[in-house]
Amino acid sequence: MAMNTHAMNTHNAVLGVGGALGHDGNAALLVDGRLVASSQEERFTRNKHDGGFPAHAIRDCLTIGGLRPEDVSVCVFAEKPLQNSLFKWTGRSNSQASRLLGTILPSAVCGHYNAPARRLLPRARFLYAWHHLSHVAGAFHTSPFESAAFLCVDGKGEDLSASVGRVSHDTLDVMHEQRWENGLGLFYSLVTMYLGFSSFGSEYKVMGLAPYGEPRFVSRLRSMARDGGHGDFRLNEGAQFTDDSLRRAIEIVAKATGVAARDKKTQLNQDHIDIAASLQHLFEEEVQKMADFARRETGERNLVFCGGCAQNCVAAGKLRASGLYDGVFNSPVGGDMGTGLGAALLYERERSGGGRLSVETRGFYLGSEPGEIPPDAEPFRLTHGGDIHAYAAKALAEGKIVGWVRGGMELGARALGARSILADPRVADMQSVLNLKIKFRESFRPFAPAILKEDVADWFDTTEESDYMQYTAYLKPERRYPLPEKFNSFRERLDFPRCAVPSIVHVDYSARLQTIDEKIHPDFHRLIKEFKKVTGVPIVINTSFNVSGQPIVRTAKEAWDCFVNTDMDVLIVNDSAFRNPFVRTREEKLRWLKQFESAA
Amino acid sequence: VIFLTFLREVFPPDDRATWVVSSRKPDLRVK
Repeated sequence: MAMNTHAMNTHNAVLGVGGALGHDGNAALLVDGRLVASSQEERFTRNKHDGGFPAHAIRDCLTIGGLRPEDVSVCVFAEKPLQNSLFKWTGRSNSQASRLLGTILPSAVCGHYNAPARRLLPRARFLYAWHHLSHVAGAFHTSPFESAAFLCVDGKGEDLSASVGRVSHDTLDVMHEQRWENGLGLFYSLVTMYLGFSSFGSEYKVMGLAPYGEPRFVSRLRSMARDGGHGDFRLNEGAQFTDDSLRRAIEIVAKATGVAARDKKTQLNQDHIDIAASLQHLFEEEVQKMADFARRETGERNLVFCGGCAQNCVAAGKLRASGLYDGVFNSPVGGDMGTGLGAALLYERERSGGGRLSVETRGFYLGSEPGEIPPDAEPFRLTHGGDIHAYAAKALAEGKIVGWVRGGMELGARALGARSILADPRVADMQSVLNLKIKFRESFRPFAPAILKEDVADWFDTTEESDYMQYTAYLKPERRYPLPEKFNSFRERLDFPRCAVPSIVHVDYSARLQTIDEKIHPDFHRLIKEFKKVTGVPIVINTSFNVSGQPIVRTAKEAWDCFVNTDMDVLIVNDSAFRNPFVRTREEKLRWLKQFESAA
Repeated sequence: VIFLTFLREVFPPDDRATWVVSSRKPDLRVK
């Protein structure tokens, strides 16, 4: 990424900071309204979903922008900490009393981010944005729409778990809200913990498990809540959005389902899998009802879907395929990792008084470069003849697993082709190999395909973009192999080759697509085009460059460290290639893995 | 504590399961 030098006081530097609600600390920098950088704290501290004050992420943004901390004129937090605390203490935050307190209390007593922020940013004016509106601004201003309805669904943002309204370049109307935290997002987290996926942020594992089951527990799960029929879903018995509270509430789920909670070390059985399918089914129904409510209330024909729950790309894909809206945009940074960006954009739209913001996201490759290659790697350097894309494509076609580290790193939970592990989707057992020997994670989880945009309609039932892996689509029927009438085991069902690219389709033929557009992802496009030249297949497996529980690698050193502790074959860092020395013993690898265990 | 207890009594948490009409504005000043 080019380093820009901005002389002090001649530019308007606005920093957005998110994560004060306890997870996914992040920062984004706008200079004169232009998006310069955005980073996540976990990529620096190596602590997944790190919710500490994002000092590293802020410094990274400033370095990319060529600025000093004292050059920042405004810092916008993506939460209102006093409102959040008042809601925790009193059960309400939007009352007149809390508004009054919020006005008269000094910043110093309003949140644990204030003191470190003041030390780091001595001259900045501090502002506070509503959490949901940070989500909305981040999603809308990176969408293709001129105006849209918005649906924001998450665990909790101050006093809200869902909001709907209308957004355009000069209006932002919140029309309806769900002012409780024991809603759909908390429910998904609760059942996720009940199923033995104990850490925060594991909900996507349940989404991945769901296609293996039958949704036969839906009515039992529904018995735990009441709703008004418009996606206004609320748990009967209280639970709060903390790990402790959710752990205590697990018994409520066990009582409703009649199935004991699973310990994370025990095998998944069919009941657990069916409960995952039921939860996902219920979730999709509720999201559809919410979207329908938003459609009727706003009259808008396009929808921006955001908040942590919008990371559920299966629900987003089905929402888009339903035809309820002409267009649906699911933000790739719709979760909390994008709230710093949203808060900064919210300020910018207020400051510009309704002028149209033009946000160039540059493929969301908004972080820093990988830096120096560690000296340990030098003896293992490979010669590649100058064309790194052709070299990597050939290695992939030979069945090799390639670590791919190129340029500025991507923002968000998904690797988009800058910090990725890549492999050939045609190899029948690649899903198991990658899961068990590279990622060290559950064997049932499929991998995402990165497919050339121009070829997507030949393989999948969609022609629409999914530039950032935000939606699922289904393999075309003519590409599917016939299945046996019955499988004798879960394992047999998992391993059966269903098509020519078995590692990237789920048992129901769904796949979480990343469509590779030459204009948005030129480097990654070039690689896959080379792979297609060799194999005739325009698809590669694209999974994040990390192991289970570890944040995605950021630097060349972290990539090398991960590379030598796994069974990847080739590591590419910018224009250099390395082979794996395969010198680590099994014990050394297990010791290395142990540090990420608690977050796995 | 007394003040917070008072707040809870006077403004009990809303226990309804329904969308409520919002008056929220994109106000960046109130914390």
